[in-house]
Amino acid sequence: MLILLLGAGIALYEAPKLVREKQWRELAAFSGFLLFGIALALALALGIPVPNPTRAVEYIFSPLSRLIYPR
Amino acid sequence: MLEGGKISGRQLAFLLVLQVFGTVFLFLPGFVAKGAGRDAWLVPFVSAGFSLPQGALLLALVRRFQGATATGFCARQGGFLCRLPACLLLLFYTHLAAIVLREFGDFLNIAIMPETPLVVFGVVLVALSSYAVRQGIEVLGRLAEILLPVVLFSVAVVFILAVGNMESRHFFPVLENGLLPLLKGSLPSFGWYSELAVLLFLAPFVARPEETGWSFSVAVVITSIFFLLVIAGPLAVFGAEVTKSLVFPTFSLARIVELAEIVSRIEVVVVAVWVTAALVKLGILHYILVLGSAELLGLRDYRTLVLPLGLILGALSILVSRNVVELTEFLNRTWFFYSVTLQFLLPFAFFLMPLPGGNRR
Repeated sequence: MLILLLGAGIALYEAPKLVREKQWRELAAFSGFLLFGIALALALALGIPVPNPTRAVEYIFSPLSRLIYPR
Repeated sequence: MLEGGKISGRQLAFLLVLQVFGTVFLFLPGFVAKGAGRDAWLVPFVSAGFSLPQGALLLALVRRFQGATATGFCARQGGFLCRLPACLLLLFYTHLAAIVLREFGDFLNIAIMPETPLVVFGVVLVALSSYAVRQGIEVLGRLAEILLPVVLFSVAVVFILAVGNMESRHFFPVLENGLLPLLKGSLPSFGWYSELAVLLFLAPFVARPEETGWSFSVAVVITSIFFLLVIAGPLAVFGAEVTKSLVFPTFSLARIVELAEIVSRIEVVVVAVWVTAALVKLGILHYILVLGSAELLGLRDYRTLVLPLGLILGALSILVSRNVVELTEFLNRTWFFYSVTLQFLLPFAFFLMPLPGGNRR
């Protein structure tokens, strides 16, 4: 709920200026990032599993790091 | 050019120092002690040596970019293949910024405010950095100019007050087991030093471009000296065996120092100063992300992206690890490979791209 309020707050703060100045490209990028952020935050708050970037990186480099830090 | 601001050579040097040093004193002394044991105090010298080839690479790239940032250069070239390395670099910085947020959240949570939910620290830091980033690069530069001396002073004070508790026997014998443990202990710190690659995004804004090389060298020297203090301090006081098991060795050092029983328990003041260092580091990364994505997408203004990206960073900081143990394991074992691949090997890809010729848009 708080996240939605925060997202709406950000949108209200930035969007009107963009619409007025007809910066559609900026508006598209802005909404894209904002929607992604809100979706991510909501998924985390509601406990929906989200792929973890750290885990992916760890997996990619695990052959190399095993060489130096054998478990 | 999306950014009209300029910074001085000194401000660039200070920004670079804070980019590396902003989180060095949290976990790194512990990692270094784990790898190198008693020789950990030699690691700053090895790391400074590592930054030589890296500096050569970065400065050559800065010259090649001809006054554009890495992303600006790619956007000017056009084409998907050119944008790929820049995109990867931005994704890396997104991850790094989230990790920085998380490190400080965990640090404050464990060390000082165990009752406060993690997300509070994230939101406060992101809100502050969003404000700084919206003001542009000049404000970040001035922030670094004001805060870095305070940060370095606090580190020096902790070190000097701890001198009475130090025992030089913790340093000897030097290189008892040969060079291998020293190199192994240096790997995590190379991961940190390779963050000097933010130069690729900051260098175009220096008012006098010929000062860039000088700024880079000064940044490496300052960083290495103070890295030496934060690693040698805990090592001399606690010894290698204890330092290696501490999560925050430098913080533990700040807890025990006192002066004539009057000045004692200074750690809260010190932590407050260190948080400001993290704020500048986060600000630099946040700025790079916002400016970089605006340049890649061909926008006319980058300020509108500040808050949405801040929201993403805040959410990511919760996602990047489940707890502090997982985070330290990742930073200790994997961070070197990840960081060096993306910030040292990947930039070589920029050399493959043709310089802007006659067919410029």
